[in-house]
Parts: sequence; structure tokens; C-alpha cells
Amino acid sequence: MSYFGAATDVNPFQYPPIAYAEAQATANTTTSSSTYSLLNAMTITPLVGVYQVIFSCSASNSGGFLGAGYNETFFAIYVGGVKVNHSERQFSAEASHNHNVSINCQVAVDGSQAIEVRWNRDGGTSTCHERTLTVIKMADV
Amino acid sequence: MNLQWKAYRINLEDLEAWLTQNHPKTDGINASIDSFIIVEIEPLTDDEKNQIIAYYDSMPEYTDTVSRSEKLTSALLNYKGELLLKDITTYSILDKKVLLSLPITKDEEDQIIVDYYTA
Repeated sequence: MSYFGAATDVNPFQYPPIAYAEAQATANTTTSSSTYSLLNAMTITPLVGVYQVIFSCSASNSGGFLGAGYNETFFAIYVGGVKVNHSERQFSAEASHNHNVSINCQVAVDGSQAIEVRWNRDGGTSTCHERTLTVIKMADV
Repeated sequence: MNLQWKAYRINLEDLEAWLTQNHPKTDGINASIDSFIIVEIEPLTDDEKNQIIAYYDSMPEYTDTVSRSEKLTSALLNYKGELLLKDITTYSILDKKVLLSLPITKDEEDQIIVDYYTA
């Protein structure tokens, strides 16, 4: 599959990129929910186009010791409220140890759709520390 | 459902436990420096929201600076340290669970905190 076939007048490899946006945060944010919901500050609504999405963060979970086995924390990219299934990442927490999470994927948006990082966990309280969401336009739709 | 942070610390674990027991339409809390959200898996009625707000408003200041999970982590380390000194043939079931990192109950966690946590 090629995202660039429909945009023959655009060089997807040109530098600097056609469009670039970044959301970043350093203040801790926590969740005790098993429902996917927005990771604080991790949302960008770019102009119409095909975008490379890059996300990374450090995160931990409070309760992964003996109480109920290891707790899982999940992250995923959502576009217009719909999960990009292959973007889901997870880690198994042990006693508040920090883990690195990274996601990358390509998505197409229509100009009104938000690109978001959402997260949840299946036990304990998960904390996300420093985090960055970057989107780079690769081609027109 | 959005709430406003209080000017003082509260025990979020208590609030979460109360929500779990009393409001099955909710699913945990998302908390950030600039937002405090009760996650709804089904829309809450105004009456249910008012119950949550009333409970939230009644919560006292939480003065304990060490969280339960931090206490448990510390207590488990102390517990395992003592296990090293014990004769393995005298281990209790709980000793063996802790040694093998098998699941334990909340009551057992509480007892470990009481017995092995030192501030």
C-alpha cells in the first residue's frame, strides 16, 4: 500500500516536512480507568492529509506487585474517535517501575478529525510522565 | 464528569473505591494538573452527579504523605528481607506467596503493611 500514489505532485521525502505539529507535556497525569480516554494534552487536529504519527512517553503503574498479578497499561492512537488498532501498545507494570512507550503509524485525516493518544489500565493507577505527540504531513489525501 | 480540584490533598484511592461501590456507570478517574475527570461508561443522571459532588465535597484533607502502594512496596521489601533469614521449612503459605510473587488478597496486603512497613 502506498499513501503517496494519490499525491504525485508532493515529494513525501522533502525536508523540511510539509507540515509539522507537536503536543508535549511534562506534568504527571494519572488514570484509574479501564476505558480508553484522552491522555492529557495529547491531541492535535491537523489540516487534511496523510500524517506520520509519532508518540513516546514514560509511564508507570502503582499496583503491579502481589495484589492481582501484573497490571497492564495500554496506549493507542485514535483518529476522529476511532482507534487505529495496530497502534495499540501495552506494558506490564511491576511496583511503580517506569517504562518507555513508543507508537508510530500513518493515518489520514479530513481536517476536522483529531489525532489523539488515549490510554487505560486494567488495575492500579497508571501515571504518565513526560510525553510528546508529533505529526508530520507526508502527502495530500 | 469534570470536578474542580480542591485546595487541599484528598485520598483519590478512597474516592475511587467509593465510586466503584456506588456508581457502576463510572470507570475510574483521570487526573492531571489541569483537569479532574470521573470517567463515565454510561451517562450519569443529574441525581447521580449530585451524589458524587456531595461525597467529593465531604472528603477531608489527606495528610498522609506516603501512598498505600508506596507503603506496600516498602513493606514487601522488608518482608522479603526477613524471609532470607528464616528457615525455608518453616515458611507459612503467605511467606511462600510473597517469595514467589503470587497474588495475595487485600487483607493480606494490609497485614503486611501493618507488620513490615516502617516510616
